[in-house]
Amino acid sequence: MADRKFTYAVAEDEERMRDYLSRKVGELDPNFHFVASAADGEEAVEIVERYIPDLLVTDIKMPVLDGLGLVGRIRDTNADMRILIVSGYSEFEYARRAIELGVDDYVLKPVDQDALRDTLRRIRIRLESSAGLVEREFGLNAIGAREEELVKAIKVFLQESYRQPYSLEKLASKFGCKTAYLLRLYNKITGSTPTQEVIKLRLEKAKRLLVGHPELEIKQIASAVGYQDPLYFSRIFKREVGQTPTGFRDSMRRA
Amino acid sequence: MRRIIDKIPGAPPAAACYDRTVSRRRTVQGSIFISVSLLLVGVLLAFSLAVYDYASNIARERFSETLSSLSKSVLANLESQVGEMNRLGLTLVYSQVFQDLYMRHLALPRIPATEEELIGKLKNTEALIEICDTILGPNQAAPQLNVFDLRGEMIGSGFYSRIIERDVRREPWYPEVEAAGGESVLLPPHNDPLLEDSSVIVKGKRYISLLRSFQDSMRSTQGVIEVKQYCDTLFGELDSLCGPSASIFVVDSDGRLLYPYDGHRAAGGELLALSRKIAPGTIFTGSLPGRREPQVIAAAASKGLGWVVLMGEPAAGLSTSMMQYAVRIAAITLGAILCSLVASYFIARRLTVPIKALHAEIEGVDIGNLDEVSSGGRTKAPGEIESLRRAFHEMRLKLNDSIQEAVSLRAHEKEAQLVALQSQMNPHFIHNMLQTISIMAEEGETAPIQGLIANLAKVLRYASSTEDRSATLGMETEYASCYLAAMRARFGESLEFVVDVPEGMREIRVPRLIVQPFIENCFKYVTANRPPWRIELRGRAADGRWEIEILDNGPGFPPEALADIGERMVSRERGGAGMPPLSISGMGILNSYERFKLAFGSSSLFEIGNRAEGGARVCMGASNHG
Repeated sequence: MADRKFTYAVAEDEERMRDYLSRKVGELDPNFHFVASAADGEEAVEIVERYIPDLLVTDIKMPVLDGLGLVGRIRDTNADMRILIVSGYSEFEYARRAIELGVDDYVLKPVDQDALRDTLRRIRIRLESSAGLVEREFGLNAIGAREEELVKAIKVFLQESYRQPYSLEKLASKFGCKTAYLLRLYNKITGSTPTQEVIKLRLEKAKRLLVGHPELEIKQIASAVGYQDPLYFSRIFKREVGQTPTGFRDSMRRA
Repeated sequence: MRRIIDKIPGAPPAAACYDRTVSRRRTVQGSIFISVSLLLVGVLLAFSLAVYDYASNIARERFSETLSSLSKSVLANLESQVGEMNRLGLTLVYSQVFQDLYMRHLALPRIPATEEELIGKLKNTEALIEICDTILGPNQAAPQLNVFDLRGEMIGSGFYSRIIERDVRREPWYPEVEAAGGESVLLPPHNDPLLEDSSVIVKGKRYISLLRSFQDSMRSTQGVIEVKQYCDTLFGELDSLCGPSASIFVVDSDGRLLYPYDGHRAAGGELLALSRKIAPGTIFTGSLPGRREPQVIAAAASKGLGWVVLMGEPAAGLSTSMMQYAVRIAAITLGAILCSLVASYFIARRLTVPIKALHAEIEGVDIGNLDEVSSGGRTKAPGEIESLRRAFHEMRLKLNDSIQEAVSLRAHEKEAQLVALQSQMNPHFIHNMLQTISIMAEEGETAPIQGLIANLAKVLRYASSTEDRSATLGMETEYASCYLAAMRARFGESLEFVVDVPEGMREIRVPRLIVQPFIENCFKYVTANRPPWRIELRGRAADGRWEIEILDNGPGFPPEALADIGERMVSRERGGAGMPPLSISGMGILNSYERFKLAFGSSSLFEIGNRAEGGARVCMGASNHG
């Protein structure tokens, strides 16, 4: 599987650095393919759940949820995901906690490209050696009708309740299985993720509201589709649709 | 102080300098003592002199009075005695019996021719002597009474009672008596040979005689009557009247010395001349015969007798009594002076002891014990010195306060610089900045890199500058702008910032690095929220006041952080050393707060809190004139 590309996502609050990492990792190691970037820890949780990247490159200091909190949140669900911290903090305390959380590597800012390239190579080798491990662990190679039923039920549930506050953990506990298993199973069967499904449902609804109800404010629409934070909603919308909610509304009106 | 002295070439060390000044000047105690003493001594001496003058005048007056009255009384005594002698003579002359007998005597022949005549003459003479004896009386008012007729006979009565041949015209005094024409004439002391032989009782006696001629109805002189009196009787009381030191002279108007009469060779004329110099009732200091030492002399003159009494006392007597006065006054004065010296010493001491105590206190002051309030309490010091002492204490405390303030200001300036440097030299900040520059370089953004580096350089230079301790609001704003621009290069569109400080406020002087901690604090909190992050630095000036506000749209200060900062502010304001700062940013805030208060006083405005719409708000302001 030499030509196989691994996916990576970036979590970084500094825009310039985020763009730089998003581009640079793929440049330094063509085996890595960029999927998404997040500007804060919470968004990072979402993109990890949505894209299930093989590698997460994250900063430590971020709004809402910091890098170490993020790692704590996603480690269980994504046991095989490699995590690389890129940070200006060189304090021992951070390094120690990162190691406890099973972070693979720690690259200091300002980033030395050679060091990053070496680190990426080490991570790639580890990824290659563990490929398929999770699938085997969860027995996803042999999917039966029962599993298919479960995924359908989840889909139905999500269509009904996407407006409610969503988290993968709650979903997993609702359907009585581990988050990691649920995530992998859903991904295996649908090629998507429950998080992506929720986002898709929410944004479609939002689009309809944006066009169909020009009197509604962005804040109200965000709340109506399940986002409590309008800023976060706007950011997701822009990332997924390519336009801000206001921009989308304006362009639709013009068209 | 020392530094100044050291700069003067050849200046002695401070201590030596001080000692010389002290020795050259008189001490306060010395000055007070000397001046008070001089004053007291002067006053006392003047007073004593006045008292002495007054007392000596009185003494002199009294002396002269005594002497004058004594001499007057002597004179009166003499006058009365002479008057008595005169009376005897007159009584005799005017008695009819005597006149008859005398006429008979004259009628009888001087030398009786017949026996009958002889018997008649004897009987008549006997009768005459008898009448004379009767006049003299049983007490013998005078020792002798002689009647001279002009025929050459004298009838004596008294100790020498007989008739003898004696031609009155041959007596040396006769012309004078004749010239007196019936008025009495006094003879100066003399001996009487007749009496000398008549009785041992009168041996060696001297006499004063009162002589007078008597006339018949035709105014022709019929005879002379002589009343003799002992000088001892006349002047006998004089010696007892006066003390042994006194000298008494009696001179008649012809300058004949009447007393002393026992062989004194004094020149009566001189005494008479002397007496004329002496006004009645006064005294005169001069010399008297028989006395070597100068005498104080009083004189009294009798108009009737023409006698002059001169009384002298040794001048030493007066001066002795004056001297006694003087000695007594001198002793009192000396005593008073001693008392006053002691008193002035204690006055000086009373004044200077508190001054010395104050001096010792002032000397004992050094920078370490300024705030030690001295034992204080009420001292015995006079009010002025006590208030001086209090003023000194207050000054000391104020000095302490201002030193504390200055030290605190200086320490806080250093702390502020340290905080700023720590946050700017913080590896995280630097690493992030370098990372940003590195990315920009890779993307070929040369101009922005130059801008960023220029901003960073300004930030670092401002934070590390030690040149000027105070800054202007313009400089602070510039610093904040550079810092924000550098951060903007990092965070891009996520960060929005507004720096709006009116041009007119930029010259206001503020402590250096006072704004920065709050800008940094904004980043600490605001980046915990989702972007866009908004930081505002706004200045406002109105109504003679100005204020600057630092706002953000982050989550604001956590309540516990606000409580902590508030607690620390209160504790520092109370003058406590302050709790050790928990973090660099917290330290920066407190440091800014304190320096702001130190610079603008307690009337200045300083608020730290959260905005109602979310986010932190820091506002500080003061009046334009301090």
